Amino acid sequence: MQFANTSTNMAQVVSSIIDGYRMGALRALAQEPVQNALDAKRDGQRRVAVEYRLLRREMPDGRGCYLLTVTDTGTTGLRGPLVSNEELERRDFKLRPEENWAAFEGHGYTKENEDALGSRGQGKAAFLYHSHVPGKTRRMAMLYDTRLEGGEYRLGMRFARPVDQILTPPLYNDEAKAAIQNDAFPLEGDLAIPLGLKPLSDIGTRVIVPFLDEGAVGEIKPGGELSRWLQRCWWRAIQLGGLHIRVVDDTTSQRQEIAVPDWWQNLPRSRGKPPTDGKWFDLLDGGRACEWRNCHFGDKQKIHRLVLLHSEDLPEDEISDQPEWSGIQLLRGKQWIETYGAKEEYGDFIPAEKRGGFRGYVEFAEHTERALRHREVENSQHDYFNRRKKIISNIRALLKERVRDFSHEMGWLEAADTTQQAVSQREKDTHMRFLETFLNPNGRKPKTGTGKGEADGEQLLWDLRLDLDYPDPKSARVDWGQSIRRVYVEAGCEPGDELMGSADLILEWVDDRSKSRTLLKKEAAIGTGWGEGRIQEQFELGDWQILRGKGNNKRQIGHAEKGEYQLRARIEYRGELVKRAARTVYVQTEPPPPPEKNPITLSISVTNVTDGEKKRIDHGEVVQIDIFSRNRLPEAAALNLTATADFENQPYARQMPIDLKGTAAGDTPSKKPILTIRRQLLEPQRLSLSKREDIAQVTMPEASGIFSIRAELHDGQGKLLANARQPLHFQRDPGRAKDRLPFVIEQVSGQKEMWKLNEELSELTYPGDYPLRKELPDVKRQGRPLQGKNAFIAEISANGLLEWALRPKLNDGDDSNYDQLLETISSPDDPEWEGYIRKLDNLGKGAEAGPLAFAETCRETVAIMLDIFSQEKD
Amino acid sequence: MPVLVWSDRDGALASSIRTGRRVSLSAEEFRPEAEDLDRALDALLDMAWHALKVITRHENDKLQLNSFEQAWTLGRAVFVSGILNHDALQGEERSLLWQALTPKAWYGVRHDASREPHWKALIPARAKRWRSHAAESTAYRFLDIGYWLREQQLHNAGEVFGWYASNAEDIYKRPSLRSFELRQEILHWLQRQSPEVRAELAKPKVKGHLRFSIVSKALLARFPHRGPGSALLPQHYPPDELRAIVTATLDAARDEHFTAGKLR
Repeated sequence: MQFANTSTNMAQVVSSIIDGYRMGALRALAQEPVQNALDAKRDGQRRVAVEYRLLRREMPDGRGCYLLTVTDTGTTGLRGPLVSNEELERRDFKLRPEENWAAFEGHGYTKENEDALGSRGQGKAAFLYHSHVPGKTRRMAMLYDTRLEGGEYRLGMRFARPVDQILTPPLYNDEAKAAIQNDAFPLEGDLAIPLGLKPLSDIGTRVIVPFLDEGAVGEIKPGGELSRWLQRCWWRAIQLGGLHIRVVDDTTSQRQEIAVPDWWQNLPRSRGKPPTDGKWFDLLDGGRACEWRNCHFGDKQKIHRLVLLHSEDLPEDEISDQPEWSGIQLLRGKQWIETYGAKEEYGDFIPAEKRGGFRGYVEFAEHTERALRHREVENSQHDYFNRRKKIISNIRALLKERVRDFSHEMGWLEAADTTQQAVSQREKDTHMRFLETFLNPNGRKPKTGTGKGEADGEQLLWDLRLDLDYPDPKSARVDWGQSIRRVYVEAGCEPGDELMGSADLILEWVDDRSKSRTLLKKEAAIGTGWGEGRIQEQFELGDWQILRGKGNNKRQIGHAEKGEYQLRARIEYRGELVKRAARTVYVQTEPPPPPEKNPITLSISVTNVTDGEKKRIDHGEVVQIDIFSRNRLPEAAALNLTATADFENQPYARQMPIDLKGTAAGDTPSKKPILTIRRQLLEPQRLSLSKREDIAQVTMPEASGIFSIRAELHDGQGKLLANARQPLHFQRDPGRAKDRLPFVIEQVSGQKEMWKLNEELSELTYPGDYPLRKELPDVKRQGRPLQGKNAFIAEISANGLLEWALRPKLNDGDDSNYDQLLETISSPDDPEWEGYIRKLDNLGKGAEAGPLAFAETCRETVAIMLDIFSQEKD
Repeated sequence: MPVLVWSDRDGALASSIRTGRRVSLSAEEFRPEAEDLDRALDALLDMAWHALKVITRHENDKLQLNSFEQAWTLGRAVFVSGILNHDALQGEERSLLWQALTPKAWYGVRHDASREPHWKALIPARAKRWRSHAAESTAYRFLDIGYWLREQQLHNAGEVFGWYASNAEDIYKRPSLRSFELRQEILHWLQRQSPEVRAELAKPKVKGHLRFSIVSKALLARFPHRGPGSALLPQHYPPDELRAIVTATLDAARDEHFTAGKLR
């Protein structure tokens, strides 16, 4: 049998190694070369120096390219013999400690007496990743020359073309020096690397990365992102004098010595042994710091030094989305590994406004460092400690204790009434799913009233009205033998030319257990002639007699026991329900009286007509603003409407007379449209678009922002009856979880109530230490929607959603949110949802039956919501 | 909106790109556009610095900086320069421009990394929050106010707010009172008050003394931002009616505070 080497794509291997760095390729470039240099420190040398130098060269064809060289001195250089593959195999793939050249040319081999950390090709990958050899495929190259103690000079090269190749044998001495000075080091075909470098004069190693990715050049220059990573990774080694790092831009002669950050540089030196409860320092800028030494933890492990510091003047200065400075840096071997963030880890103790200026670092005793260096504790990228390991959980616990002490001493714990804390992603997901279930199906399920025509077409807007006459116009009561008279349905849809085919109309009789009976179905009744701007159909459905016994006539509704019913009309379009309208009927029963508080309400809806799937309105899109009102009183009302938008100086209506018909006691009050405005919104300073004849254009005052639509209803004496307000998001996402979700969820400390919705209705908060929540288990794996702490989140989300809908309604007569909740129901056909709709209808009547009954209805509604949610599937 | 944001750590300059656009790998892909904007900001800051030199009082050849004038000057320069029409700034939030403009002026960095120390005078020294909360739009409130103030001529705006940035903020933080029409009416009313009343109302609020807040509180009660009575904002009234409302509201507030012996 014969075996052949496969052509491994080295470029891909390098990319996947670099993808393993949580903070990106530049941190890898800042970390790996310096670490390799420190590992190769020459005996008798006080310090190791590393220089990153950016050079610009011209290729033979006149194009420019950049080179990066990373040179270390004070090191041994890449010493040791070349080791052949056969020799490696014979030695069980183990290299001797001094065999640096072979280690640098090999890939994935370990040295004797060394754990496997850092020997998986990270160093090479950190260089290669930044090389982009011209050509169609992703190729990388690096050269490395070294001067050894005996005067020997070598030049090697690795070329990922993308198969991994090395220059065999390497070039030695004069040949190597000549090549390094050559302006055109041949790579393949006509392609050559314009090196033109001086040979090394000191013992050490230089790695040359040719064809540097041009996008990274700005970051590699002095003061760029690379310098910032170098400072983060190595400041402590620099402070202790064992390391010197310089970044040089040869093109501008700009150079930067990587320095210790001011806050650690200016920290007063402590003398003597600090007390066990920490030694405090006042800083020159008014900040404070505390240092602890020799803190024991776990099984004979020890923190050598822990320093925490806070200064108001320190800016938040993070590059990535991981904590770097703001928090406690964990150092191992004077090298930064990771930071436990001021927000992420210590959010309970550090108020939000103090986190940017919070800094800390921790160093460990030697034997603890050895334990940390184990491959199961520290990852091979050297940027993460495994938190599942006991040693790490012990360290975290100890650090938390010290941060708590620090916060206490700084007066933060006492000062913070409510401090924001982290809500777990699982909890956020549950909150979002919950709201989406009840408010924003967002594509998961058909949304009532907004069925679309063509996939790319304009949003279809449906409306449906159900009129009827009760025997007594002021009451919804109908006794046996009496008739509901003149049942009339009016259905509309626009734009008509977007309607594909036609829609069905269904009339139903629904009992209080949500059981429905179809009284009449008119198939394909709406939209038979398409191509019109607006489709409108009227249906005279006659009188319907209510009977206790069996009805013989098709216009009779039999077997109607005493109680509350609904006569309901529905439009179904392309198999989905798009609009419903219902009227309440009390058979042989006295209906409840109308509400005393806010019997007349207003509601505003803001719809993006151009793209109904999003709430945001972009430049050139058309917005429709609908203002509705409900009158729950049996008497008709003559009112005056005022409506404005804060982005238009001309009011939409000012004291505009409105007549609202009354609602029979007990009937579901119908939402009457009283004003509709359409506008095409334009960004200022943008080219105006061609104007649509039927729609006015408005140039917005700002290129983006949240604006408001406001409306008020007054009676004839000028008394304010209802006030409503709705935001309009122009070129700005609503910014809460996902598009239509009305509020975010936040965990706070210091709050007593189980949940609280803020005044702006934008944030639902709960205390992290709420007793009930504390007792619930964390959810390790998402299974059922209501599980452990997720059940707590669902419960408070349900309560929050009801308050979001009802508070403006009950306080100001603003039905906007309530209507949104009522009209975006996913599955109104489902009997479970029918019960929910009934409860919402009842809640909409306010606390007319007394506060206790209202609270009971709230509890029942929450219970139904949780039940629905528990049956939800992803 | 890609912008180039300068930072200066111990004399080492660095720049990063911030954008509200979707990025595929990194905001760096927008660097050319951001650098182009950065060049345009050089001209804007030169213009603003020149204007500030002319506007601001000198004493012993030294500028006596006033944060109201600093805010107005920078806001006006942003407007006059037309920088908001720049391609890089289309369709996104203005606060990103503030994030670029503020450190650039404060550290005094031209697009080619050469230094211009004078620009620092354009940023009120008291506006420190941007240094610790660089990504928060609220940290650049002074620039929002400056850009809002520029709608009026400097002298008019100065008269309305007594040349105090804190008075301007007192009105600006109440969104229902931000309209240009209302500020013009406040000016009209103030110009008809006695010197004593004007002097008192020009002073910023301090603990126990309402001073300019007499104006903002009375107007907020008449033009609330939310709830009952909020549907009609000042800009929605015809000019005569607005003038009558402002006069009646501020007369009543003045009488309550001054004739009741509360003038301190």
